[in-house]
Amino acid sequence: MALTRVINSGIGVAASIAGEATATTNLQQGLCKVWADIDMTGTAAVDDSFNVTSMTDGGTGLPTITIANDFANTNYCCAGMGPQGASGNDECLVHFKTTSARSTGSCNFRTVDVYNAASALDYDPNTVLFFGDLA
Amino acid sequence: MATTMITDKDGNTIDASTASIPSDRHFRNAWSLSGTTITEDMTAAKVIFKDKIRAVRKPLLEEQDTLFMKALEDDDSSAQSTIKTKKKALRDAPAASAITNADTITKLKAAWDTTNLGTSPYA
Repeated sequence: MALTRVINSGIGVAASIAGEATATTNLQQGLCKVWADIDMTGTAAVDDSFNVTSMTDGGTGLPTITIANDFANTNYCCAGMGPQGASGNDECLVHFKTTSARSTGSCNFRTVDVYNAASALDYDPNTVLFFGDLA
Repeated sequence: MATTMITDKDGNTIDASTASIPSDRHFRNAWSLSGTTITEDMTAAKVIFKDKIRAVRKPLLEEQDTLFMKALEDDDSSAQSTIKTKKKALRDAPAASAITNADTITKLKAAWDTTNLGTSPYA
């Protein structure tokens, strides 16, 4: 197995990284810029996070993450995952609340029960990851 | 540590650490902030409660529809009558007087018709 090589072109220049073979990729672009583990049951809370200032509980299954160090644009990519509830038939789906849910400083998403007509539901945990260009 | 803010049904926001908050989230979308206290707005809570009834009764009505078709095929008028009564009870469930008259969340939760709708999601 090849060793990972970090190729730093100098201060202020994007670092590249080579993994398994010779191809390189941009290190900064591949880093997760924001992540959060949210508990929306009881009094909603952020159980753990990175680069998050606060979370706003906007209603059932409706958290908004406020980002500490903002993104440069609203084209950042998000991934999310939640659990299957105790009843075994209320699987969580995490999605943007609207097409304009992303601003550079916050992201508004929604958790729904796909088994039950995609109705909003509170889950613990909700985990989200954001990748993109920081400002 | 990231802080938690809470927005009520009217868009008012408060830091969760400074607010008095209802003990459960069954009627989260009915939360209403006054000062630093959040309580459930009963009118909004009843809308949520009735929507829950409608969601729960949907498969129950579909089940009764299937049973009614079988009763028709069997020309079983007694079974048809029983099913008609059951379906009417399901259709009338959101209009129960216990819901209309409930003036507290506890009374509203107790208004769940376990006979026709099964186990209460608020138990």
